Amino acid sequence: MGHGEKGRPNKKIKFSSKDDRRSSGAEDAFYPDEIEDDYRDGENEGKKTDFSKLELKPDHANRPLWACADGRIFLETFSPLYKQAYDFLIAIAEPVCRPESMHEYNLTPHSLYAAVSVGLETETIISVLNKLSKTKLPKEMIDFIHASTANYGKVKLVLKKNRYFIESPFPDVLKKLLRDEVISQARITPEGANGNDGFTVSKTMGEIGASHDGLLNEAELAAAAEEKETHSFEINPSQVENVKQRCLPNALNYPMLEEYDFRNDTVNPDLDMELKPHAQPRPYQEKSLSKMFGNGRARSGIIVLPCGAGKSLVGVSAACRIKKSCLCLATNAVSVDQWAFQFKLWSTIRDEQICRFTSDSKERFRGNAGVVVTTYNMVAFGGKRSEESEKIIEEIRNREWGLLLMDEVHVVPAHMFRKVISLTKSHCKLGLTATLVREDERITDLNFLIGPKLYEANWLDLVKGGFIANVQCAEVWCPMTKEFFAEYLKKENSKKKQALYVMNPNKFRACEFLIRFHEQQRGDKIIVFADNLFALTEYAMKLRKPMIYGATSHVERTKILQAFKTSRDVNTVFLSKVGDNSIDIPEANVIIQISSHAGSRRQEAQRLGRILRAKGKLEDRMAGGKEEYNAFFYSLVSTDTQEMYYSTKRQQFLIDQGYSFKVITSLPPPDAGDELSYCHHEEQMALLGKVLSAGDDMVGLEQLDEDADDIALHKARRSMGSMSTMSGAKGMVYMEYSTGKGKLAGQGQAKSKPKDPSKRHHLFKKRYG
Amino acid sequence: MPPNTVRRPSLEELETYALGQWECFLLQLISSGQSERQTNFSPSMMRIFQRGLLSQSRDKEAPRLTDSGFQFLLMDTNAQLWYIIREYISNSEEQGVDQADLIAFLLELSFHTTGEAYNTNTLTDEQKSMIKDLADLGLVKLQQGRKESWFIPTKLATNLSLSLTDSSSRKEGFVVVETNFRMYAYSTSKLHCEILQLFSRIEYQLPNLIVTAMTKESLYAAFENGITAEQIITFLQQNAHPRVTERVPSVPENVTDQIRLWEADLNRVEMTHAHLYDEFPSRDVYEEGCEFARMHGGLLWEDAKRMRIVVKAEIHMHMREHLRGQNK
Repeated sequence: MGHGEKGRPNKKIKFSSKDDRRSSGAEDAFYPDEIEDDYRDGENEGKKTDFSKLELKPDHANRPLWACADGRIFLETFSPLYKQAYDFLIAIAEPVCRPESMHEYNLTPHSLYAAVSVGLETETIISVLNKLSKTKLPKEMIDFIHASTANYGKVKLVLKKNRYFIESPFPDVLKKLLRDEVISQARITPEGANGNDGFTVSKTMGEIGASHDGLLNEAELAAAAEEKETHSFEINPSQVENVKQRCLPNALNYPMLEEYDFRNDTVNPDLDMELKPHAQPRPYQEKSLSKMFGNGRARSGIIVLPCGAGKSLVGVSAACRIKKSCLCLATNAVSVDQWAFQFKLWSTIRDEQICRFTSDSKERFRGNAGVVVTTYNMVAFGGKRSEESEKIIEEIRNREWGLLLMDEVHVVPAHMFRKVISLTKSHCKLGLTATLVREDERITDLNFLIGPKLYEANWLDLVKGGFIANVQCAEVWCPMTKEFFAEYLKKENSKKKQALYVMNPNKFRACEFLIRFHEQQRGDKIIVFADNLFALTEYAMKLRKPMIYGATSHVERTKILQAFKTSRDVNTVFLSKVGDNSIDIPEANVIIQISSHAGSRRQEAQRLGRILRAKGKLEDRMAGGKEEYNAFFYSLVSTDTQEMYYSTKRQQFLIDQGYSFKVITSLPPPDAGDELSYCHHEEQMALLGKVLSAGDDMVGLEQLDEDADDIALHKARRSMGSMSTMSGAKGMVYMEYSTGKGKLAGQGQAKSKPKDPSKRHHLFKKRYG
Repeated sequence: MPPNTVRRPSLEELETYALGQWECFLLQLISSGQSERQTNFSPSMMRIFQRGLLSQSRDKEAPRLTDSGFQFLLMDTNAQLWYIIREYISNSEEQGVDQADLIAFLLELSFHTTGEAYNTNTLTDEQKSMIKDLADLGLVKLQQGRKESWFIPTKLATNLSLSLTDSSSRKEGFVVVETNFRMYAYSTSKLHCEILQLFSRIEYQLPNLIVTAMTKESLYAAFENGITAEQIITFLQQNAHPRVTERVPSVPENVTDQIRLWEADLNRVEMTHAHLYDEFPSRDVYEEGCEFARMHGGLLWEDAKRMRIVVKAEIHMHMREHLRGQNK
């Protein structure tokens, strides 16, 4: 897009065509991960964009960003204005990549919609952007912002007494909307409609003291508390979602804001709950809450925080502010228990006011307001229910919820969301997630199903602040042995390829070496992940370590995990992909991944999330502290196989968040020789024989059985293996609570490893080759 | 000493001038077509500088950079300057200039003071023509007074006598490399753009920033052009932006490792010249031959079933002699 091409509305065309593609994809609900192509392929193909003719401002060195006509924004993180600029950009643009020195963002219609939703006005966006920019803002960008936001914020969706209304101060806009077929059909015309258009006219308070704190002075919005006349019409509750979709930027372009004026809601009973004094939200948690409650009302939307950064406290805090009945949805029964626990941990809610609703536990709260924690599946379940369940579901359906709190929104298929959202009536929806992997069809759906993204934390900033663990990531290259590689290349072994590269003796030896190193030299707790069941069993048996996979009974799982948490002798546990989502292990600080699900960026991020919860003392974790790196993530790949290709794809999300993968090529070290397994040729050949003689079905991916609560299993049925992309660590506990706290901190002391950057883990210090 | 009527440029102005001249010269040298003005070097002189750096396979085609041409571009300014000066000296005979005189003059020039104006009257006719060439390279700035003319040596000239590795002669760095293989070059220079393009893909050009991405493909292209991983890494390290020089390492380790690994990936196949022997008259002769090759450390491959062996080229002659002896 050359600079000389002004006047051509090229931006709009490009963006809207993209959105069309996305939302049409939304119709077929759910895509398996294989389709999740790297969104940067192709996009950058042959792109060389010359904006060098933009006019630099004389004091450009003091300003932190460049803005390009095609919507790309570059931000210097070392600028003194970085913090303000980051808060502003994250509100108006999508982050593309956020490494250490330079961030990149994209302005999109959706991101601008989110900006307007949190109370930023068109002129504010442009003037702040212009203030921060080193160059004069390109005209195309100004036009684009105008075009994208002109209609935003004019229409609101309001839930009153269990009825949905579309509300606007501009009757003309409503008329325009009604010209749309979908919307006019969704309209419920009141009997004896008054006037020509039949709009209900009422008075509401205008925006009161909307604030966008922390920004430059000019960005602070004027408070205007004047009474405005609003017009509204009612729509059919079952059509709400379709109407919302019609109003999105790619269609009628009047995206609806959903706000809940909970303070003035006298219809729904209050729920008496407060945050306990020990619940101190961290700065970024405060910030995300301030985006949600910026104007004294509750906005619907999504908050993105990495695993282990305390999403649950944000959820509980939101419920405590709204103080109305709250429906909390989780992905499985285990996390239902965790959420119920979190509510009790952080808030003053009484035991009888909170209840769990799963296949095993059917509780009901007493009184006229309360919190219900359940799974998406329980609500969306279409089959026959027990009488008891039916009653509870009926109650859930009929209640007007103050807050619908949705956990792990990125894993829930769109059709399930639709169902859940159309079944339950809520004033405000808050979605929580760790990994909004963008350009994934489901993520765009969230925009209209829940609301815009309200806040997204920067991983590196949280690491620097010591809020999440500083993880050293490494990709360990394991050359295939000659014999394994020869078999790998044979056509007749096409179904055994995965087993062959996972069972590569060199990989086994590297894994064994790493386990020994971390167990013996550092006293760490290790999780080994393997998607391939055959490999999982072989590895665990050979190394005499406990393992958990789909078929492991609940009793046995508990026993193994308890031993892992408390025993000095059990320091390593092998997990199949069931460990990706439903098992919470706060003690672990090392992950070794020996096999994984193809190119899933999300699985990689979620597995990393298992060890992100910060451990030890804050000051040790800060840059330069003695435990600067206290968590380790190893991905073992067999060179020259498909794994190499997948591995690069998988890491993309984390790399965009500023993580780097160090390549290690010499593991185990040559002197580690005989004490490791498979050092003799005969042993390796025996292993090869075992792999080759196993049936094809034995060496494939793990298939999981069904479970009434677990949303993952729906996915597993739909596309093999995609359940592995389920969420990682639940934000169940912080260190204050963990039983492992004292022990781990103590270990840190006892080990007394000086950890200034130059004295890292010796494996990382070692130069390549 | 210069009269007061001529304004002498400040040291900064002089440096900007020198680097501008040098960049202009380089752009013309690599025939990028990006240079805004032409130097006064004759086309024949230019061709002499270009030999070794550019090659032209066919007449009509634009000349391409050779291995050494790419490497030349990645060198620091002082090293590049020396390369050009050496070419200039070695070619001086043909221009009718005495080599010894030229070297003496350059040496003398390098001991002048940067920014001081010297009268061209003091120069011989030969030197006067040389000084014009040196001005084209940015070694001196010429200034015309009302009656007399002056030359002002720049840092490039005075640095000639310093050792190549002296860091004081180095310019401030401009490149920030991130862990995700993206490069942000704080530069307006077209030459920098050309250089970065040797091993990365340019994505955005902003008024004072060039955004590029290093990919496997862009690096493979560089390796194919004869640039080594080490040269790229050295270039990135030497030109690291002051913002990142304080962090250790200035170029992220995962990036430097990966560049090296990609290079190593291309060098995994080793070529050995060899000869194949087959149709042995008997198994005895075959086995004897194998033994002989093995003894001389030249046996690369054997296929006992079909009685074929491959031996290294070095022992081919011995082997042949030996087998001939056997056959008799």
